[in-house]
Amino acid sequence: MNYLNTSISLLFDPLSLFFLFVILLVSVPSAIYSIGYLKGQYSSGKIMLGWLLFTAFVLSMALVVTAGNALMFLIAWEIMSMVSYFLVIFDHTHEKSVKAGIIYIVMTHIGTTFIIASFLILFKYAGSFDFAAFKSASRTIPPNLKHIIFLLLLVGFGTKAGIVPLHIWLPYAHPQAPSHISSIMSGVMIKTAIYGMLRFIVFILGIEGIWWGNLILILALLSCLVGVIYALMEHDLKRLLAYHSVENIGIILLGIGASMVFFKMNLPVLAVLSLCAGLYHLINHAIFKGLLFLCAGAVYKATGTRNIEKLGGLIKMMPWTAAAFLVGSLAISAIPPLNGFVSEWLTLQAFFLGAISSPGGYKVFFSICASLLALTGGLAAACFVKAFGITFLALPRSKGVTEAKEATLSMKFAFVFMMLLTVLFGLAAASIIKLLVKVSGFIFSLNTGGMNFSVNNFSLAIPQSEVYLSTPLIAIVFAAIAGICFLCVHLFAGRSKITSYNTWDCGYYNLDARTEYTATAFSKPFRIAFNFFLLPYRCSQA
Amino acid sequence: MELVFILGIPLCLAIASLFVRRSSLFGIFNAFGYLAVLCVSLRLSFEITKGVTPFIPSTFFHIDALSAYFIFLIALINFISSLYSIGYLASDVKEGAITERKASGYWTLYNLFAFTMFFVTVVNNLGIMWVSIEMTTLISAFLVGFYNTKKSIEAAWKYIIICSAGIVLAFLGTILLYYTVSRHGGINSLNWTDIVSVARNLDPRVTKIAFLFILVGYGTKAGLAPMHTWLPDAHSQALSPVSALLSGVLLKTAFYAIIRFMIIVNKCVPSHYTQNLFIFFGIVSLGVAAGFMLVQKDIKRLLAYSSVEHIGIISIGLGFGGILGIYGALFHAFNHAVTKALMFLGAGSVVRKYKTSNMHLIKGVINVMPWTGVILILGAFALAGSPPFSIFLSEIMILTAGFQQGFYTGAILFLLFVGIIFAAIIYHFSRVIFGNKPQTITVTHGQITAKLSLILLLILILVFGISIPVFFDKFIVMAVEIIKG
Repeated sequence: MNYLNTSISLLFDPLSLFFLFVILLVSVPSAIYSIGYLKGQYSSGKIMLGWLLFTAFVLSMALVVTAGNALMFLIAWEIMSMVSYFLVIFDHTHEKSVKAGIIYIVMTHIGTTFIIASFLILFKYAGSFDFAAFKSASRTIPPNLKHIIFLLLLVGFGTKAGIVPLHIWLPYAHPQAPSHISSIMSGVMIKTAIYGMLRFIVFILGIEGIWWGNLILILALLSCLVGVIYALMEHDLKRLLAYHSVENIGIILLGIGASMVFFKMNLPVLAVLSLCAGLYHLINHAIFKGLLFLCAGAVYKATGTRNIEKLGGLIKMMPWTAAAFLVGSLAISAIPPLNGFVSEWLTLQAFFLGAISSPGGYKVFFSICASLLALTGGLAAACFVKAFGITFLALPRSKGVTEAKEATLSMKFAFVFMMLLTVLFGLAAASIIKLLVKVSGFIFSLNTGGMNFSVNNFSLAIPQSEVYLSTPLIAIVFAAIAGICFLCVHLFAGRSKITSYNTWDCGYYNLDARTEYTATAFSKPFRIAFNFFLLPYRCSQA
Repeated sequence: MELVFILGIPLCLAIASLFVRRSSLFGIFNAFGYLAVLCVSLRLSFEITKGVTPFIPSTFFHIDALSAYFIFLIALINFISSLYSIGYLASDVKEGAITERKASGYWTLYNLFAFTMFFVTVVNNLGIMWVSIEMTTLISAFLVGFYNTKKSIEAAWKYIIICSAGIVLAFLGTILLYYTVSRHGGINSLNWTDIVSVARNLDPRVTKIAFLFILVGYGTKAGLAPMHTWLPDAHSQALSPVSALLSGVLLKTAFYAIIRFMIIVNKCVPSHYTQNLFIFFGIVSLGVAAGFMLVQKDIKRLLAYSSVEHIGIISIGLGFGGILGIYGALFHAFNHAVTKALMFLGAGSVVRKYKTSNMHLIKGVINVMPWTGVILILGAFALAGSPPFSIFLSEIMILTAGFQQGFYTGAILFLLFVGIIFAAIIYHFSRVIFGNKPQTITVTHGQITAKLSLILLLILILVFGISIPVFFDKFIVMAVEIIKG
């Protein structure tokens, strides 16, 4: 042991604390949710085992982000993978779970191999596994070797993060785990890979070439588009959410990649801004994706299916779940004043300002990035119209749905908690960004004293430009419009002229669930629009 | 004094087992015997780490930290395996697979086998060491062919033929070494301690050739590819507790002999000669194992190929050299012994329950035998090199040594093959342990001795994976110093 020059050491710098906060933010409501979720689905022994694994999982993630040397990091990282593998195959009698588990653990391990290789190169120069030694040794590493280390780390962490084309395991593994675990896996676990990238690539290695940022931006764009397009085609509720994780990791990486480019272009304010945007989206995604997976779990538990073509009309049976899913959908679709909007707005602003202040080709590149991000946002909104509409509105499409029961108290508590968080992180953007600026400044080792991204406690403002955003104001306006509409309806129409009629009847009579709009039909335009990529084919069945 | 107990207890037990009527009672007695041996070997290690030279009756024997380390390994695995054997044999007798008489024959062979292995590690004379390694082959061949089925006899035959052919080469190597010792060293002795003292004067060319013969010869016994072909057959046909011994420690005793020769050779030939050979054979072993493990159907053969892999890793560790590499190699010898014993014993229970070793027919172990299932899947991760289990630590040490010493190609190939092997092990074991159990298998409680031995091993793997105890660390360091010379 002594020859490896390591001892047990923990690290609590701003970067670690930020991720630790995100982990706990999602894990605590998921734990509460699981009280109700596990009951009745599994035997009591299995529930105990579930709790054991859950605790080990959260602890290992916490250890990943607080480990003070690379050996501890690796150990925690592998324990995290192993425990999550056990959670993926929690329903081990399903052939599908075992398959998903194997794909997951093998791909993750391949990623880890790349990480180990990069650590060993760093060790050769540092003579120790300590992060501090790594950081001071990184000055002596020749640039070419740094490029190799960067690529190794990118592949290694990219596999865990699920960036395209290393995302293959993600849509298998995330849906197979019990839902409270899916919510942690999607919400937090893949973020530990982002932590790894920030810690090792940006913080320890230092950015050596501007192409690092460009490469990350291109991969991020690819992840955004591929993720959202596949999500649009998906009819398994949890797989759909898993594909959205690929998309959102892309959005987070857009912020991080852009910040790396800006940092090399010597634009510190923009670098900090876009890194803040990335980190902000990281928290936001953790919150709303966690919420959405919890809702999907409640739906699955109530109906026994995850196929949205068989669902429908759940809003009447499960109003709490429906409300929670709606809020989550609005947040992930970047609708103001909820949290998703703020971070995507920040990312877009970073691209716009980058296009203005950078030379030549980068103007075009950043504009393309911004426009593709906007496209992603639009497609994501469409996808969630489908997911919410088909699942919760209309008439029930199968028998199981009509017997669905509302979620239990502990599950509702988790919903409400997460809903409040989505609202809070939308409205309190100005205060949150102050903290994020500090974290970003720490990561880049920049002094952020002069950088101010908020004018008061209610509005975001970007220095050197005339851009402002006040989410509380938007919320007030929205509330006012809604209030006025409500008043108008009641004043002019009155109670007498509102009649309730069969759901989605459209004036016909005797329509039943079989004639309703389906998810397949809803996504058809997108299937046609992207047929160059999706390559759909027809086959007839006798 | 320790020496007398270490060699004496197995020998006495072997003689006592000849007069046994009730084999199950004797099994318990036997296990206590090995517990005593384990305690003695621990005491020996303690004394050596404190700097006390153990009492040795004559120069015929030689005990230093290196041999004490291997004695400890053999004693540990023998104790666990004898514990496990109690229940294993009892149920064999109960099912009528073997007679009571044959069961006591098992104990005789078992003890003789242990005796010969201990003998290899304590003997000073390289010629006698050769004889005792051949003895381990001859005795364990009877344990491989124990059930007298067509397959097991074929495996035993293959085992004897290939290992004997290999060991003839080692004999040539020993003779060549003796030639240069008597010609250039000026002494007529095969004692290791004497040869080491004159090793600088030996003729480098002859020594090089001698080492090549030794490496190929004993390497056959150690299971280095491409001389490993006997290994999967013998290990899969032997009784499971014997498989644990074969894989866990027998391979290492052959490797111990190679290390003894290496120490001599490194004194007169620049060490990169032996290093390159070790790396070459190690990488070939890893590659061969990786390929065969991916397509394996038989659970015990899978584990046997994994032994080829791990012997390769030990060899690579010695090849990378440096304190870290050698430390890693020795530590890996321990880790592999413990982990592989765990896996063979666990797999043994599974094979016994399902009456087949074909992995396509074994499903849902965790439902049928929850304890064994959980321990096996954890053991599979340990074997594949996941933390927090001990193999991870030794592999990281060896890899770090590789990068430190600049063997980049070797280290990268190592990473690649170990990655493939991880996939193979987890793929196979996931499918065996999870899934729906076959209708015909009923859930039963396992034997207490089997559970106890598995849990003991798992605890060892976990403890050593989290941190190496100070005493043990010092012990390995002393052994490393002997190897470095």
